[in-house]
Amino acid sequence: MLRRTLRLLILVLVLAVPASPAGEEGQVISVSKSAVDPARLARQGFDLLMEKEGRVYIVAGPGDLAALASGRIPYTIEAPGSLAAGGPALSADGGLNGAFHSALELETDIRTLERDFPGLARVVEIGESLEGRKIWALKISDNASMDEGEPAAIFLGCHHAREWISVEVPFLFGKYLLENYGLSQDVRDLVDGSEIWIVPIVNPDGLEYSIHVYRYWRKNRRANADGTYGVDINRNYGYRWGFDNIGSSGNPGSDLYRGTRPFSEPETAAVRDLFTDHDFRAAISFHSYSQAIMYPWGYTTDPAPGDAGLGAIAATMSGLMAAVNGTVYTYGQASRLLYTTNGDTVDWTYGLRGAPSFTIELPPVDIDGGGFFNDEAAIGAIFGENLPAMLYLARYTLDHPLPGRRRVPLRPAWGRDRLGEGLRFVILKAPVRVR
Amino acid sequence: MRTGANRALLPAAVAAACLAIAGPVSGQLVLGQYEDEAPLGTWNIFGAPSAPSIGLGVTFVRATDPSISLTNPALLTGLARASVTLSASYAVATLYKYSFVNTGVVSSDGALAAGVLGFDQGALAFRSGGWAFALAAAVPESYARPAVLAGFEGEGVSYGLSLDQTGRLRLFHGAIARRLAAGLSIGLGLNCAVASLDRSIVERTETPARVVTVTDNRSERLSGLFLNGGVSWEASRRLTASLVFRSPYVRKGEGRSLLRYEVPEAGTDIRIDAEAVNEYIQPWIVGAGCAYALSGAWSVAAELAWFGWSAYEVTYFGEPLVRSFRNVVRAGAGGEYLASARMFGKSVIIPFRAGVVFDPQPMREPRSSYLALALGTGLRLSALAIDISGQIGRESGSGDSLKAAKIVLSLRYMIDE
Repeated sequence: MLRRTLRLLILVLVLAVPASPAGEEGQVISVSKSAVDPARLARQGFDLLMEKEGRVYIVAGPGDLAALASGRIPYTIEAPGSLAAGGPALSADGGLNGAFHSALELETDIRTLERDFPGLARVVEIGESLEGRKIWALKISDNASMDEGEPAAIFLGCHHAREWISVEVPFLFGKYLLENYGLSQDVRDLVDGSEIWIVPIVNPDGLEYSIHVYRYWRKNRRANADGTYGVDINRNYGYRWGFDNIGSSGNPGSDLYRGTRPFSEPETAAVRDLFTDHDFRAAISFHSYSQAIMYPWGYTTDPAPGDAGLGAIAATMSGLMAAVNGTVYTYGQASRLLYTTNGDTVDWTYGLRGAPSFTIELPPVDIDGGGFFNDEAAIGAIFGENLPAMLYLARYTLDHPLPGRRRVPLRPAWGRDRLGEGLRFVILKAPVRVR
Repeated sequence: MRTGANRALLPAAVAAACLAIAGPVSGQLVLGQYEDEAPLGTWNIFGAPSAPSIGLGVTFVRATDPSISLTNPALLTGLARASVTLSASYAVATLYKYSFVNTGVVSSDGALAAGVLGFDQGALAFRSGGWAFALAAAVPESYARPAVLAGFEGEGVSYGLSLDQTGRLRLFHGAIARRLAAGLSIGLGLNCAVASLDRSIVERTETPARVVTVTDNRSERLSGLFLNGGVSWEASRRLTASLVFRSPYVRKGEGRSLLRYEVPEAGTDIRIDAEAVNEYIQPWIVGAGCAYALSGAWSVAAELAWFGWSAYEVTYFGEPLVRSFRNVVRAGAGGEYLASARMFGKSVIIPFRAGVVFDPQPMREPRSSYLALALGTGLRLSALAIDISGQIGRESGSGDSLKAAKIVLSLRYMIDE
């Protein structure tokens, strides 16, 4: 009895303070006892906490999650919302949009992360919206203030203004990486070996209009020549832009208006410039709703080169996601799974350099479940089920150099630090393009 | 009617014709998308002028009734020993871009009009020796917007989108004034401002399978205290000069919001509730003007009022809202002719007033201003007076040719003048 009480006490403490030393290898998850043999799990190195009411509770790191997923063992993150509990308080805890971020709240929170994790996080202004709002990126890497030319992955949110949940998932991913850097060897390896770029709000003007004026607003706030407003910035990228009038529209009043030319909008130009300046090897653009993972091409139903590989990655991600809360994300080529789109983000990122690129349509699955609305209380769960997929794809960039690129050997150079304290030896890693 | 009345016929007919032609006057003073808090008609509201002031195009340089206390209490010393006034108005303004209208969601063929009929102000004043006192209540600002109901029906789908916004500012005012030596008078007023603003957007999509309803409701209840005051100087029997101010103040209070998504057939009910303390920092107003009596029947008045809108700040549900405003100077000037006449066997005075107002709006982009024409007339029996005035304005700068109009009816009663 005493032992049970102690174990229960430990569980309560771990759930309450997930970033405490008790949970130093990650987070508390549970699996059904009918699906696993606890003794076997222990032999395999899983850190078992206790058994209770037919479930086995485990302190699991990302590697453990992947192992469970590969064994098709469903697990539940017991306190996904508390992943942030040990870190800085979020400013997005009130206001018109509740627990979802506004543009200002996001800036506050990523600057807090930068302050709390110096060296690992850097806030970068990548552009400015039509109405003059800054478009922020959060770069996460060891030596984040340096351009080390490491392989990079990018996670984008809020191309479409009304898809508020698409801000939260990439933002919480960045927060998770920073808060778990010191706790998880897997996260540490990932952050040390790569650059994770997170742009939670690509379309800040549209988001503010969606919060303050009309909840269902989708586009940016371009004042079009005919008196209508907005360009669908997920139809404004340069690959097969305007391929047809089905996957986008030339009518400025349409929700799918593609703009007057590729990258006509400062928001897409900002992403373009960021992407072309770094060695991005994978991309996820978050949207809602549908619960789907989509890969190129969107503009045609013809398969993209490497279609099978993209499908395999999507299948793996879907499996990882389903294992968390049982939420099924369907997957497939974008044009076949939902509808054709041209000028969208992932066709461009894939078309430009073959980087595995995915659009993830977050929950709910349909309008009966809320459509573009998500319950505030569901943010943590949605992030939790996307976390293993994001970790998987980010780690994928380390192991799979893109064709035509190679890892760059370290080369020493002399430089002067910014404070002018004298000469110091720094390691520069510049990307080298193989022609 | 006798001779005096005949002289009054032509100006009266002109004034009546102008008022009739004016119709719903336009003037969207809300040019940006996000400014739900903008008063209908103009941003530059100072006091709650009665019909005589409206007809002259001025607000604080001529005292005809106790409502002057809301702008320039110093002029209370020139009123009758006791006086009372009551005003009501019908104000109409056209708006083109507001809320989701013509900002990307629904569009209209032209500007839409909102009309507000109601009580403007009531005030009473007493004078005893060199002292004067006033009490007033006023509704100087309305936040009403043209209601919108858009939708379609067909192929098994019924869709509707509606916008409803109402609100007003009420003022409760008390003032004291003192006549000093050398024709100087000073006055100071204390004001309690109480504002309410309610906005509701409802979007409803009905199909045979389900009804999806999205509701976005917001309400605010704000209040604040401020001072207003003035100095007037009777330089001569003909010339009176005035300086006035309104102190900056904070309208502050509770804001509530409910964003809700409902699909009853699916058991879905998602709510985001919010409560916050909202603040609107109102700017200084400083004005100067003068009134000059050309003769016993003719007089003119002019004034300038500076509104320090660059200091205007809004904190809305926890976030500062961007209001790119500039300081502006509103100018007004007008003239009055008092015609004597006999009516029903009694001596009466029939005033005829005309004025112009240049009213630049604070938005930096696009620069916009109203040019308004004011006309007024009335009838004054011994202690009782009735006045009616209209002001019609046309906006330039936005490209939307907005218009605004207001017709004010005032009654005043003076005792022991």
